[in-house]
Amino acid sequence: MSQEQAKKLYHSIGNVKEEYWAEAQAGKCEDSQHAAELNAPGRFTKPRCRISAWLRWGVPAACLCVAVGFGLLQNRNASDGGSLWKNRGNSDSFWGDGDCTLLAPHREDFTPGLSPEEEAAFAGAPGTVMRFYRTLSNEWFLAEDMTDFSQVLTADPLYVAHGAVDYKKGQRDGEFREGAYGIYRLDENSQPQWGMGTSGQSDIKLTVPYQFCGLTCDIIEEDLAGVDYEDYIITQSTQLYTVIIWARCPNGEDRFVTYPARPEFVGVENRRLYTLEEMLAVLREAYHGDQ
Amino acid sequence: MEDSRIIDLFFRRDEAAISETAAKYGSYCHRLAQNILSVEEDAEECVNDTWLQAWNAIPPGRPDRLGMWLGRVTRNIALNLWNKNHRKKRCAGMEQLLTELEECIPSPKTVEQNIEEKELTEMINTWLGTLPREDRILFLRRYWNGESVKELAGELAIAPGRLTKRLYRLRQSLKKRLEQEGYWI
Repeated sequence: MSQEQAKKLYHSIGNVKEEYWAEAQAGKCEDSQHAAELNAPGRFTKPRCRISAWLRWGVPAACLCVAVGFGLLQNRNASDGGSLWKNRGNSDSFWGDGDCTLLAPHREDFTPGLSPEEEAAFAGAPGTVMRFYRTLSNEWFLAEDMTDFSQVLTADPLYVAHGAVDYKKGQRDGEFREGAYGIYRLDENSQPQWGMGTSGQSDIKLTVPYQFCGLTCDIIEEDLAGVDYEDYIITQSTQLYTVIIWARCPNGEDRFVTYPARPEFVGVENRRLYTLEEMLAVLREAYHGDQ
Repeated sequence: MEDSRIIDLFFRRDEAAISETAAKYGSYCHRLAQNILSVEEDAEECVNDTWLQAWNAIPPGRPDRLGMWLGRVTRNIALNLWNKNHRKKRCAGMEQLLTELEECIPSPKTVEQNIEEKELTEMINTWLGTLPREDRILFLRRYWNGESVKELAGELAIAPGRLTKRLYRLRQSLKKRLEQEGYWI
């Protein structure tokens, strides 16, 4: 029924004013020219001094924000008596109907690696930059009425830049240290803007990453070794305090790798490879295990 | 060749009308059909049917704007062909377009009356008129021309994700407009 309605809408769009149609055809030429100008060599090359500027101001700001956020989290955790993970999320509809193929039309959005535009924007970053998507409303589960990628994840990607300045005892020490990082987003002019970030503890980052702490593309691809995947997306569930890698595989046999901050609470293993069914079981246990 | 001269050829029943039409609008119509049908052979068949329909309809018809008229004919033929050979894997382009357009359809609970196609077009025209030019062009390139998100994002030099979100907002805006007017498609 709704497809018939969509066809009616499609027909009606085909009969819009000629001037609008002509505008779109002409706009195509204009856009192509505009794109050609934008793609001209050097267009997106970021002057090194500007890179330094955003690292100098953006990273400490991100670290400061996260330090405050981390403190609040610890307080909240303590006040909840350790039950931070209970009764959260969309309890009645894990993954909706479990149909992860609903994301299929948006595969092109999930291609790993950075576009030339993104690479240019982060050209001055001292370490690896990863792109990831955050779930809408901090929910990782797919709503039952989900029909569009944009209902599942924030369409605007965020970027984790490794090797930024470290944050230490409330003051920046000015040194670049492996493992520290900041999280950014690109503004309308493709300039990196501070979004959010954190600085993990060095003693846990190697085994149990705190969100993204210590996580690199190399680690992800090492964990996906042996999996016949086509591409993967990096998502962050702020509900579960877990980074989840969703690897898209042929025949719908998708795999998931998890990097939880607190595996003892949610029952999600660090760097464990899950099938969809296993992932669902883990999530059910995490959310309903005590009911 | 100018459109008026091509139409004159049709009126004189000169077969050069077809070759001139194909030379000027062949790639445009083929791209429209390809966007909908996703299969080269089907797109080719669709374009040939478009020329046939043009031959049969002109005269007596005399389109004001030949390119748009041919585009509409191509879309309609492609949609009919898609209906006939409805197989998801072969017609992924149209399947995706319709899935996206379904999001513009108001819930029956929020609307009061069924809307005729002509009236719907007028409403879409009004809505398009309220949009910034860039959004209007983007909407029509996606839902009139059927150009893919990847293709558009590449031309506009923006991330596909950002474009997807922009299109989503446009669809939601159209849906809201239809709901405000209290219409059911």
